[in-house]
Amino acid sequence: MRIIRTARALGLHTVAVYSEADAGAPHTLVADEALPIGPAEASQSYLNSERILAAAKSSGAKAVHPGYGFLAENADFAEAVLDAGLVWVGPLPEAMRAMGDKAGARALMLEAGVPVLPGYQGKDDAASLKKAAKEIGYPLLVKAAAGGGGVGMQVVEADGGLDEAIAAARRAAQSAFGDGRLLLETYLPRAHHVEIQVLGDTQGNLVHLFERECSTQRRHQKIIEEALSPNVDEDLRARMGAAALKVAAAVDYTNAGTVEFLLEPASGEFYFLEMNTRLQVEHPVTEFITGLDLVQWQLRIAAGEALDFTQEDVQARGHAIECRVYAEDPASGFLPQAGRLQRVVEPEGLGVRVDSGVADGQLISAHYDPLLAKLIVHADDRAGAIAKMQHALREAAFLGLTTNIEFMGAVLAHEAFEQGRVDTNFVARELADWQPPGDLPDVVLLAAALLESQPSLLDAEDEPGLDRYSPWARADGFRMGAGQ
Amino acid sequence: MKYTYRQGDRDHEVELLTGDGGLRALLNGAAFELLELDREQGELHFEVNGEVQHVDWAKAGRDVWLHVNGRSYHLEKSAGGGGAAGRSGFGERVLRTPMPGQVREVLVKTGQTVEAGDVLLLLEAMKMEIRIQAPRAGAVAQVAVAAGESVEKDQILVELDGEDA
Repeated sequence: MRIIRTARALGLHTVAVYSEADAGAPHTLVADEALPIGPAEASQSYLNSERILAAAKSSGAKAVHPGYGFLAENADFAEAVLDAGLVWVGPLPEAMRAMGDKAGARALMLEAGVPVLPGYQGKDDAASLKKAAKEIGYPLLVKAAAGGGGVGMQVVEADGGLDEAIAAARRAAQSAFGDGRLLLETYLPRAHHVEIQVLGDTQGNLVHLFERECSTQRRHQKIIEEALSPNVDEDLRARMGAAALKVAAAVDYTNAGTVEFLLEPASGEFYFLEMNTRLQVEHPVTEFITGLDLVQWQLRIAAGEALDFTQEDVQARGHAIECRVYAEDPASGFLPQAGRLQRVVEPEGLGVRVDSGVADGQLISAHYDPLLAKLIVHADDRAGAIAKMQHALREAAFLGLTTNIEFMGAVLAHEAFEQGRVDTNFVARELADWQPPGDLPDVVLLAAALLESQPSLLDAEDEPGLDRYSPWARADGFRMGAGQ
Repeated sequence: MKYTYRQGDRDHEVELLTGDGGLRALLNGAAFELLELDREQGELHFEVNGEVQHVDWAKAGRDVWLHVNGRSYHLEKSAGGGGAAGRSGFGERVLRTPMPGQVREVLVKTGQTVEAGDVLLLLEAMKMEIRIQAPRAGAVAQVAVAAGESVEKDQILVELDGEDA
């Protein structure tokens, strides 16, 4: 949705693809055209490059934007797109391949002089991993060598848990990336996840667009992101920015990408984690503070345009926060929720942006990640942004499913967040037992009962034959302007 | 007219009374004056004792969702005279899917003895691995699913022997 919006603003004709589970979903309605590419299972639709290329061909599309999930970091797909004579909106397959192989990327960064965490990438049979684990010491992380996003990542506290962690990580890696290779890394339990947005054109210009702090995570996946980071001062920003540019330059990076670091705020030490060779979910916070449209630049760079600004031109204004609204239950281990979304109410206002792909009546299936929407706010300073986000969270409603909205409100209200002390393990450590307030105000029950009663005769006169109190009968379907 | 709603494991009763003076409600022993101002698709404005309230709402079957004063609530309307229906008695012996997904791996066989906490099978749903663990020790009476099988929410996965605790 968000990508289609910018593409259309540039005057491009857009073609969306969808699986059977997403027939009628908002993105299929907003695009100029929408083509079905197969059944709900991602492996037979969104992860199936032949089907996507066939759709591109039949629609006469000239370029492919991969979004930020599924095949977005798949170098083979990028290559297939280029081989088909189409423009790939992303970096060259060689750069994707170099960064996609996490073990290879670690080696490359060691060579380029970018700090990496002590770890092991090599033969990954259980015996070799065990031996290496002993040398690295505990706690450590078992990670998929083929991909990122926290998929398959397992923390091992002591020797005894290693076997199970290896088995679980391998299963997850095999299923998510079709590649079960693993690597090991020292685990820093109190580190912050700070990442740098970079942008490179095909003329060789590379700039960074400052950092994002993404330490509020559950299951090793981000839920709240902000820019700039409360843990990065001017000096550290300059050092991290320079390191990120070094990383990108090492693979002749073009288009939008993100270099992820682990930061220990106390010492100011940071370590290269991985580079994401695509647009990221949290890119809107960077757009808010820099005033740049990253998708527009992705498309312009893909079309061969040079950046029309330099590093010195990039200024950060104010503070931005993003909250990811997931259909999940924070009170029971963030268990994903599937079901029908009955009614969506999106917050509005100056400096409030909602990137959403869902609408009233939509079925949230168990097939995909249950991300419903992203709420993004921009204010003059961090305290103002937190207050504005609290307001947006209270305004937002995704009725029909349990969401993490109240949980995120609790995180933002926590003094650790206010002080910028939330590290990547904070949620698991401090908020594992969080429960929503169990009280039920009288007004809720009164409203429910009132809805049972006959509506006043005056209202019932118009629109005969239509059950206008049912969300299914909404004539407007969904609000185009709000779902960007 | 009386209505009973369940939130979590608690029932709440509201009584609506229509009279000359308009609409009244009785709740927790207190009386409230209600005045409906406007009802639209998914939105309701009404007055409670003169104070205006704005509610976003949705209904499906007996489920009612309401968003009031910055928070969302889910209520289940009772089917009739009795309390709201709830599934009970399956807690310990019959293990069901917490959500729709696919069985990744079955780790136990019928007849096998398991300890509390043992992982019985692995589900995959929404890119996540969910471990189904034994809630108590016992023998596996039945494994109702196979690896690779797609499962619905609340489908029976494994039954243990003995009685429900």
